[in-house]
Amino acid sequence: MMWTVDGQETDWPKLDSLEPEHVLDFYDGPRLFTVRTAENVQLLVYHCDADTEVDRFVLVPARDGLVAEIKGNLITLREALTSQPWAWIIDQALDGMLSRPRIVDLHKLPDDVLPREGARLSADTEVLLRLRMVGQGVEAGHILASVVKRAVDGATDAIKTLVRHALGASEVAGRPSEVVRRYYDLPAVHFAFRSFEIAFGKPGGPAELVDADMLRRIRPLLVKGLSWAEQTSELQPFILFEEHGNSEISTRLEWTAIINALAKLAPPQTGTVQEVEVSGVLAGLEYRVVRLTRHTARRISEARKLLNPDVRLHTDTGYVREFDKDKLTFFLRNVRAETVRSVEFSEEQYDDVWAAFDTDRVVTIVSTETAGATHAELVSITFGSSEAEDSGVTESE
Amino acid sequence: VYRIVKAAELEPSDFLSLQEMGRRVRAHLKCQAAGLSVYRDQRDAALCREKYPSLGKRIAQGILESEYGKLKPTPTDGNSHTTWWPYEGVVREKPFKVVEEE
Repeated sequence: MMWTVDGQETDWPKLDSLEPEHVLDFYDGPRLFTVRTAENVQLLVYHCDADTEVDRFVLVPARDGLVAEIKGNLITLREALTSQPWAWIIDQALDGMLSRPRIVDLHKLPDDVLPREGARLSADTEVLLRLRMVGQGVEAGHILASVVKRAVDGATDAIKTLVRHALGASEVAGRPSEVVRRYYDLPAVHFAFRSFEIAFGKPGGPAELVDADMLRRIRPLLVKGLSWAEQTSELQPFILFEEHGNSEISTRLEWTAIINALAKLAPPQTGTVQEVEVSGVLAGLEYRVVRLTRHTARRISEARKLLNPDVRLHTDTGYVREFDKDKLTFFLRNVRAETVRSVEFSEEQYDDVWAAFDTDRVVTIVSTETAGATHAELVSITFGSSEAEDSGVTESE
Repeated sequence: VYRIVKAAELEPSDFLSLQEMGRRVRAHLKCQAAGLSVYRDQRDAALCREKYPSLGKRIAQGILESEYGKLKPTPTDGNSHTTWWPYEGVVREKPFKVVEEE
């Protein structure tokens, strides 16, 4: 006995049969296809359930371009169905007789009768990394710039973290080479604005400059991290590997990089974005997605505390001196020319740090310092003093 | 090859073609609908399960020697979809075992 359809019977769409016009997917019969009504309106048809007596189908209007988007893997099947203004359910008996259409709200259907979140028609083999930002208010026409920025920065910074780990700690400081930059400054190959979604393709440029091995090296790290993130267990990775008798420093460093990368991808605890769906070749997720929720973000935060117990946060005020544009480092000094902090910064922070150096203006910086590291890592830089006219102030926590 | 199944214990009902289930099939699809869908790549089976959850939560793997019937690649968009036409009398579920379960 099949589930009861909660929906009102309608006279439209008028169909004599569900004779496919185009079959988009086949598994023991057409699973996803189009039909055309007597009025020449094209509908998308999804085989949603069956029992021994009946096949049940969801039908939605196949707006212009929808079929091309499905075939081009640009839209998930769930979105293709649920983003349409109307949806109907029709049952087909063994003899081919169709029930009257019932107009339904697809969001109210039972679980497991619609495609899973993130599933596309084909495997996502051309996309290295795809992020989809999900949250109330993240919808077409209302995508905040901060959401776009978070998606782009999150993907870039996560890959950069893993590339840096793969290259070894000695490569951490300094301006990344063009070759290294290729791995995280990836070409965006697709944007979608139903929620906000960005897909990154493979690195471009001359083949001899692209070390394909690098992508093979960082892929297992991201796969491992996402696999951990997906677990419902509260166990932290550090505990997991210690339980297996592996407390080597290399394992700890690897997990530190993995967790730091996940932290870049996960949604914030507040704000518009509540979930981030991750998929793509680099994530080992050509065939499905992993959803990072706020709960995942909390687990990541706890893991970071375990893995980075010796990280201290500093807020300092002073002047940027000895700006090294090759190594991307500077010294922050107070009015007495005493070095307050040796700091490493990213290319994205270059212009701000340069402006501070060039104009001799007092700045307040926030940085993190890891025990044993030569340089603190710049988190933010703002012009002006937190304590007016008294540069050289330092606060640590 | 891999096939999506419903129960942990494989049953003959997991291995029936559309035609055998008594479904009405259009003339041009009759040949394919007389066979069973399988994939050569387990990941394609996993994707199919994501697309059509009502098919079942499990994936069964089987090695189909020639005595089990005929196989022909029938890909959709380059995937590993293959149609299996079992010979009459073979116990279809026999070479399969569940290898993946949600």
